[in-house]
Amino acid sequence: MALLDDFVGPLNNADASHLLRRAGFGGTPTERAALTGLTAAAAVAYLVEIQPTDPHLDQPGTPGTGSFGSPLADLPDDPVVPGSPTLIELDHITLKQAQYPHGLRGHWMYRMRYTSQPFQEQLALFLHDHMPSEIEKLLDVLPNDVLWGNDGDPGNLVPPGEVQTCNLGLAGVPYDPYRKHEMVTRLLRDQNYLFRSEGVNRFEDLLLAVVRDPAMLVYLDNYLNVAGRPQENLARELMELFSLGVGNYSENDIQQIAKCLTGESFPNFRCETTWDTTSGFIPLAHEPGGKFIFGSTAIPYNAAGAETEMVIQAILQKQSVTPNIALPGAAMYMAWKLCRWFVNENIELNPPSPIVVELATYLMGDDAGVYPARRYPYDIKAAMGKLFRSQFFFDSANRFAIHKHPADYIIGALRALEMVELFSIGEGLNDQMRFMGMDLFQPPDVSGWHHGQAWLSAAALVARYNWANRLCNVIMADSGVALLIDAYPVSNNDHAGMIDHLADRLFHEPLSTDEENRLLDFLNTMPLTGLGGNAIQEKRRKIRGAVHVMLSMPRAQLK
Amino acid sequence: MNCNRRQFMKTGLSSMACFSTASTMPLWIARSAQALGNPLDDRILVIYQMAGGNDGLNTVIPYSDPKYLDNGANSLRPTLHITSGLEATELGDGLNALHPKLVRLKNWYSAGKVAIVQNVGYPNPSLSHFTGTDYWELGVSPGSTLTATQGWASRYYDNMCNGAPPPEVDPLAMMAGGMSRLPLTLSGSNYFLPPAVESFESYNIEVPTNPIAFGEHIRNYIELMSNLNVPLNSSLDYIQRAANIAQASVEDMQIAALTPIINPYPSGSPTLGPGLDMVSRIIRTESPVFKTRVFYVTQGGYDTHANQSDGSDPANNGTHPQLLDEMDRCLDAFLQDMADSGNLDRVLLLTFSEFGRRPQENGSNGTDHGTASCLFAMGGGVNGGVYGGQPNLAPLTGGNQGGNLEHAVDFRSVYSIVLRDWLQVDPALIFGPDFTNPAFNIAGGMGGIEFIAELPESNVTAVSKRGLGMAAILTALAGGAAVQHMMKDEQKPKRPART
Repeated sequence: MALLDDFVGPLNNADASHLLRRAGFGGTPTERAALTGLTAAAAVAYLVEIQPTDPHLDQPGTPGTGSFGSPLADLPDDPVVPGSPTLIELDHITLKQAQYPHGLRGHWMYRMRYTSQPFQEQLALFLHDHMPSEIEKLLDVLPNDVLWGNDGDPGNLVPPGEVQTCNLGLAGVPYDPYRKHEMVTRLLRDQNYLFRSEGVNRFEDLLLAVVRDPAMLVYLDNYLNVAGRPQENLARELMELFSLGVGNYSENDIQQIAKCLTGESFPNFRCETTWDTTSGFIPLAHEPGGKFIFGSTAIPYNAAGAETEMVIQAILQKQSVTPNIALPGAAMYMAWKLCRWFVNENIELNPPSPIVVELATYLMGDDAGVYPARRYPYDIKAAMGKLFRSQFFFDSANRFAIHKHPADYIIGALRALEMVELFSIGEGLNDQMRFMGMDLFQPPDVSGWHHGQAWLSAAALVARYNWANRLCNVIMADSGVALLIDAYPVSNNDHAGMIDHLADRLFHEPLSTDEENRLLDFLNTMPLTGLGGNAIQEKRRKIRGAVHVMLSMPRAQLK
Repeated sequence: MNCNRRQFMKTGLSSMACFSTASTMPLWIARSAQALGNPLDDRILVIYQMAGGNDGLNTVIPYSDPKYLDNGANSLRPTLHITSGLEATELGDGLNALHPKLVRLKNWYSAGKVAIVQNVGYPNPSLSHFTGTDYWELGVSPGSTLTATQGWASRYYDNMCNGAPPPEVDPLAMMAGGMSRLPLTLSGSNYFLPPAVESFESYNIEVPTNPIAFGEHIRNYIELMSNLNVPLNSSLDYIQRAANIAQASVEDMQIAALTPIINPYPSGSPTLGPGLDMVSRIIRTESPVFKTRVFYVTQGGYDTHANQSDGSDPANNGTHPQLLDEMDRCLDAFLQDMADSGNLDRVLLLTFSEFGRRPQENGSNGTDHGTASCLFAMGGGVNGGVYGGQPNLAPLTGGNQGGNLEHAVDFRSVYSIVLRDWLQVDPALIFGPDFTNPAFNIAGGMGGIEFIAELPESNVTAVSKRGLGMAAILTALAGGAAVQHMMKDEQKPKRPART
């Protein structure tokens, strides 16, 4: 297991920064300093051993006592002046409630920016990309008069899983066009929190939860997959994208598994009196008879939904068709996807890069004696711990070997610069992420986003330039925010010192001579007209200009 | 000094002095400098992706086929079949009609400007959206000898020079309109990095305006920091080239945006209408700068597993009629734009979708993933008509898993017609050893689908019309160096030298 052997020695600042860029979104100077000097094992444990809820963001609090960076509970529920919220109040109220799609997107970006467990959010984003659901599809599919729960009050939404009687014909409930948006947002929010709380655990459990997730059941049409009328959408993507990859199953397997999944539905989705509302599974809709998959695996008939569990077990045990590989196909596929997302975007599955085979082998182990302890096969936390502390991960060939996705780019810059942004409103991060091609909860299709060089289409690159402009010339130009710049330990006329400081924050590595010289030219020839020789104002303009240009550099697009 | 591409094009090479602080010349300048004097063959290809898998049987409707009709237990389309309202879209062959929503397209068909190729597919088809789309965009299929990671149109550009940058090709040789992600069809070249532009309005590099000199200073250095000495073929090198194209194309798009709309595109078309509107305006922009020859637009939503049509009125209600209506209105506006501006004869629009849908409808008023399907080619240069034969529904049995259509025309045969007769490059250069492989029916399968008309020969096309015509063209234009590259098979494209 050469590639996965532990990285030896204490982490220097570049090592720690590499780890933070990949496991999270890039560190603040403080976070990078905190991990420097630790062993890889200790630093990785710090990042990967996470709580289901974030100790900082999810702690209880008092509404209205907090602002940027506060625990979510401390953000306001109402403006200080009733009816006249400030822009920031409106942003924070909206993202805290996460009641509508833009609020949910802002909510997640806020978490990414201020979490104390950045790996939790990066992994949630990986999982969202791996098995997403799209808001627009759900909005398109659900009827406008959908009711969730039985009282018709938007303020009393009933969480999924609770028994409710559907009362579509409820008298006296006015039609509410936002009701559907609320419901869809709630479904996707629940899916998102599933990734956050369960993402590091047993992949089999996560896969089962996703297959039974209401948003997914709507997104991949499984509510229409019923006895006598099989619907293959979920069965196909479950294998092709979520677990096995193309080649490890046949069209017949898809048809058989579609039958196994008949009846997995969402009871409160539509008001049909024949639907059993006591669980997500509808026995009446389930295809009778036994099924055969993968040639020889019998799935005996089960009227209570257990076929779904059997199917997922069988999928995760299905041997890979890759020549000379005696491992489950899903282990290979998941090892590959994790390596591409977290280590190097050029790692291949066919034929497999050696690291894929090693990590897949590790995924299938269950020996509790080794650290990180593999609690069971497909233990995602153990696999990621092992990968992050490996020699392979720290190899120089894997540094800056991934194109930043838009959340890396934005959140990384905000964390590096310890800067603020609006999350859910106005020209804030909702819009910016969409311009850069990563509208959360709205990937291009069920295969998630296209990565690597695909992130740098001309339009997306222009969007990155323009967000850099917004950050430097709208956000930082605010007189209050400018105080954050004033705190940077650099002096106005020490241009080299200024460049070095900003390069360390943004890139975590020294600049090339060429880059350094040209940035020095930039500062040396900076127009300082209109500032009246005010040293504080000059320093602010220089820093704003330098950050703007540096965030537009090719180097700023890699992590 | 704010030196931009526009100023460069106006003032010529002398303005390169304003980049004296750059250690290397921006790539687009290297190309543009060469581009100034050489007029290019001006034929344009617009690729239109119908994403999600379009249902061919409800697009070109085989209204006389008993298996399609309502025929009790034998019907493949008991609720989704469309038989009424076809009078206006009947194709005149007694066999087929366009979907009633495609009534404007039918007018173009009647005018001889639309060719339909039926039964297009490939051997051992994938029913996966993603794998299927990849095959179509790369021009490969299961079992093909050729393995490619580069899109077929991108390979076309690379093979025009086969190792050296073609001197007459603009940096904006290809682009995607109405979408911010670059499609695989145009991707993979190391030196043609087409822009994908969602809209003119959002496509602008913003810098501070207070004071203006501050913003101009930043704008200059954004460019300068994208023109550094970096290792060849490194990630940074790639990003620099992408940045150069982005920065140059921004200025071009601002010019194209000034070209007025002639025929309005329908509202409520999220990507197709805006995309074709942009393509139209770029084509219609009178400027020597624009040499964009391959465009790509997309329309999503064809994955109609459910509610494809409403059985009570399948021609009008449901997702598929809506999509075809959008298609019909957008294409009509685009073709009319081209006709009104005198560009119709130099534009060919080609549709594709990753697969057709299953002939047997499912139980959700929809259809699952299928295989072979129809596609459209349209423009002033096509021989209108229906090619490729009728879909053979006879052997298909009922039930949801009753089978899929066998393809009769390999999609690479269609591409080869476009390459050979429209773009005038040898398709064997694009498909390599597969071109003559009978399993893929490419070289031998083009006889029945020659949907490109013989047009009056232009000054460029007069050089040669077949085979290595491009080599001869390049020889004429570039002084003969390229022809030696051209003659070598399978030469891996190299990165151009920077001068």
